[in-house]
Amino acid sequence: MALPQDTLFLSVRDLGVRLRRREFTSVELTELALARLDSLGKDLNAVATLTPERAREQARRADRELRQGTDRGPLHGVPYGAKDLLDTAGIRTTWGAKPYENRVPDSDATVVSRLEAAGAVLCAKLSMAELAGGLGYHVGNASLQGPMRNPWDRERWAGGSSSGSAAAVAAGLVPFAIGTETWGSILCPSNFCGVSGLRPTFGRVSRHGAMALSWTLDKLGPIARSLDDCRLVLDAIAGRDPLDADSADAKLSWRGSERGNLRGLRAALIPSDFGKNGDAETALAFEAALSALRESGLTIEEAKLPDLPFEATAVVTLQVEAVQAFEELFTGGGVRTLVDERAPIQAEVARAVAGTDYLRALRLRLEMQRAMNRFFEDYDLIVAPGFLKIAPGVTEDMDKYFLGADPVGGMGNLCGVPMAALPMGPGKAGMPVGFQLVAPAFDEALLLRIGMEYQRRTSWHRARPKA
Amino acid sequence: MSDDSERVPEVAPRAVSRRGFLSRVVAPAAAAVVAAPTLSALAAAAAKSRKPAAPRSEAAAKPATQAAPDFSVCRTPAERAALERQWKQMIETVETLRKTPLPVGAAFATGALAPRRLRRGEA
Repeated sequence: MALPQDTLFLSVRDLGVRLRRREFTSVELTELALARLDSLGKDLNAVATLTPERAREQARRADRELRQGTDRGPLHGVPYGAKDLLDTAGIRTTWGAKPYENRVPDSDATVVSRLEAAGAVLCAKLSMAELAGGLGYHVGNASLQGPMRNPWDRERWAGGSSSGSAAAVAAGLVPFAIGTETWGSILCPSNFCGVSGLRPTFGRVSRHGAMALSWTLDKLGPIARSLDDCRLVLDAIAGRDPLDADSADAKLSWRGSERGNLRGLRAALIPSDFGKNGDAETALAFEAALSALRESGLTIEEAKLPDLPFEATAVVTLQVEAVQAFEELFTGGGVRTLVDERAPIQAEVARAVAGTDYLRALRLRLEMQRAMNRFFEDYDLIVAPGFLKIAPGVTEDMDKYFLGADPVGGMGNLCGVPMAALPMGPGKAGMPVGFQLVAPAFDEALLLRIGMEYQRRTSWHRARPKA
Repeated sequence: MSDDSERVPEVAPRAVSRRGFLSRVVAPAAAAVVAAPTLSALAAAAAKSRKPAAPRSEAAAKPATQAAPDFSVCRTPAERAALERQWKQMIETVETLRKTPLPVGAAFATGALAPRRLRRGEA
């Protein structure tokens, strides 16, 4: 019997329970995911490549193992999608960019291997902004897969660069997906698509087999309906990997994350000027989110980040590393085949940065990390809105749409501290909007504690776009 | 490991009188200063013996903020305009970094820095 179409809107945890109760099989779930990805996913341009053969084989194995009593954990038998910059053996991995449209790696990224070991079922490689935005983009159509459409309104952008990952979860095509973030690429699409994203500490998740855009800023993490689901995924993919020299030894502990009462915790609220370039509806939704957190016992106080050039330092670091990462496109001419018409000038822009400037950026970065560690002696975490407006039109010029700065995102990514994106209700035109939490390095458990309590009190993460 | 402050010197230091110190240490040092060539004389001597420097390339002679992008990569007026704008922005961004003070000897970071202490206790 075919499963109801909305089955994949269930949480990862719930799907795992029902698989063990034999309410359905992994093969049935996988067939549903493949069908929805093939139809709805392609309409949204969320899919780069379907992986039906691998998915069916993994699903059959999951069913067999579960029948035999072999349980690989909560992801066993659950379908997922991976951003199309994670290598998959024998399956094309395009990095969302024309020059790599026929690229077929011969081995799996560590994250893909770890999810396979956890019994998860890879159903699709998901679309993304070309080169994860490494050479810039200012319109939502800058992808090999075409305009990255939002399931809540197909004329609007899904966010980026993990566009397909967030859109696929929001549209109920897969219950979770893997995204990557260098600066905003998990949090942005999560907020715009109304799903939850957990961008872990730099080094928490191995990047072996993932496209390199910025060696010192790239991070991988889960996108799912709830933060609790993100936790289950992070459990499976985190940990030291000898194949990634930057992967950290730090133990992933969730101790204390189940405690609901937030009394005694103190959050810094970094103010945003909604009046300048924001929507009144987003401001109201953020106020409501803050109220829910205060009702949980969280003390929230307005505060300022240390007066340091976080964004400028992140910009310099990113520009230089990205141009170096994709040097072959400049020397070989492939840069001219990219969608974004400004990509070809990025190597010239990077020449404004001297080698000493780059090193200065890395030295400032350590001072900034120390300053933030001192900041976190006074505050347990940071709360801030995501974008002040809803997603722009899919062909709208983002440079004109987004005028504000991103101090929290710049700081968070430069310092490599963990961040979470949470939906906070509808903004203008019924489109999802969200907020973000930031914790000290390696303190993902705190993000989970706050986020889970918020999601126990609200239901925005369960909202679904109209069919 | 032993504590240096507790070590007894193998040879007791000789007592030095103020006059002895002045005659044996300060006077020769003062004489050396008088006999030493002046800085300007040293500079003149160095200039005489120095080979003429090789001409520096135009790009190397200019600090980054005075360098210019190669506009020949632009194929359209829009690309050129974008490069002009982004170049200017990047120069300003770099200047921000250059003006931010750094402690002498500051090291650099390429990853995350675990905190030693959190507000709610030890990390």
